[in-house]
Amino acid sequence: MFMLKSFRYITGYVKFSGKGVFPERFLNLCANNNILVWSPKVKYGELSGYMHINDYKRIRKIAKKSCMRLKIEKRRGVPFLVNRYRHRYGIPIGVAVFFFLIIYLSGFCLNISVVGNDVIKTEELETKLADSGIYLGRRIGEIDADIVRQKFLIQNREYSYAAVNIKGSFITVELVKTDEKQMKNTSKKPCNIVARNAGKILKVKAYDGKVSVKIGEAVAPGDLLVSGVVELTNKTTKFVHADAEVIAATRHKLEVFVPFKTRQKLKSNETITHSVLRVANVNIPLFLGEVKQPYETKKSVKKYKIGGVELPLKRITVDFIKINYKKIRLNEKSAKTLAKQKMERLKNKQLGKTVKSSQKGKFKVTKKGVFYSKVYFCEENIAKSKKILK
Amino acid sequence: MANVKNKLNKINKYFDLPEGLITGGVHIELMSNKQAILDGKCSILQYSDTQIKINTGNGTVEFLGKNLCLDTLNKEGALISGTIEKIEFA
Repeated sequence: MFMLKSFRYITGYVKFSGKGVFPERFLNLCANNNILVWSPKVKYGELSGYMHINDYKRIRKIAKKSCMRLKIEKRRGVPFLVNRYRHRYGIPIGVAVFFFLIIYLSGFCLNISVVGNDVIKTEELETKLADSGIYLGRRIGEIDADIVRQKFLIQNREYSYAAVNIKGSFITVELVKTDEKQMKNTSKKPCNIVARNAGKILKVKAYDGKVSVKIGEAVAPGDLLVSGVVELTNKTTKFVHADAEVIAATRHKLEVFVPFKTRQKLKSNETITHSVLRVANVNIPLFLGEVKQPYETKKSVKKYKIGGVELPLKRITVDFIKINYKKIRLNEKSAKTLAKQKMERLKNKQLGKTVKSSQKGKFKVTKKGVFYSKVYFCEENIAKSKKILK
Repeated sequence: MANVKNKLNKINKYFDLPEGLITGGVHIELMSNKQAILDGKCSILQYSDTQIKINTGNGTVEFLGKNLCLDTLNKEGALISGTIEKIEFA
């Protein structure tokens, strides 16, 4: 019934009423002439009913034959609606623009979701995907999933598998990271293992190649530890990709300098907030002016979602915190404390957890500042691969 | 014409076919007392919401009831809906 009503509404129909002598004859003639009259009612000698607009134009003769005087009570349907608003050009234009935008914008990439990325940061991955050819706002028709996939895998060795699935305006990238063993096997060029630092060999764990050093032996930087040239029993030579872990006791001397005259960084309460609305790849600034003075920035990104689906709309807010530099003069004691802190940071950065023991640090006070040096004894892997053939 | 009709009726009876199949009568089907489907050529003689009288060619059928409405009427038949209380043949 709904379909029938919808069809009648789309094609247009009229409600008519008529007075006359022979309403029954009128109905019979309509039936004989293939004119559909539905829900006819006769009350107090007056006939009313519904018929299609095209049929109404054909009943003049029939009405005359059956002595009926008809008039239209109501007009319903799309043709009448269109006729009523025929001078309002904005409506059809608006409808056309709406459908055009829907069709046109659905041809662009509006969302990229990545499955299986736990190796690199999302932002970094987005850049890598953009290099491969997938970015927000790109036309879907221009993306060749196979080529993008191959390009991405060639550029990013840390992934062994990638799949690019395009569904409408949404792109899903599925990634599988490469095993460490696989990563090592990717480079199979012949090479030697040489010493990165000077030290005393404690342990050698060779996976491939011929070991050239003995435990307890002292080595200098660049000395051969494991050779990639292996002599076989039939006196022929074979080049291999030497791979080994060589643990050695090493000595590192670190030195830092803290000047007496220095400047201290102070954060002020003055903060300027600038926001940018990012639609696909287009940034719309929501601020005026620019920030020139030295500032420290704090970035936050707000993503918008509808029903769990991320929209190509982001609000990026950057807080610029004003930095003031204050010139200060340190005394010897505070300079030494600062030097110790600096040394600790340098040690963690350069040597990390390899440090086993250390000597007591030495201070050297000059007119300009304080020098602080310290010797660390470490146990570390000094193996470094060096190509045999260039 | 009457002769032909009689002969056709005889053939109808001889082959044990449903009444009016060859001669062209109206087939009436009732859905409870709410709907009546008339299959065959028919025309309206009287029409109101309590009474619908239909000419079937061989005679007349009168539907009496409440809120009667002629949903469809065309060359092939008619559809009557409403509460049918009585059907009279003449």
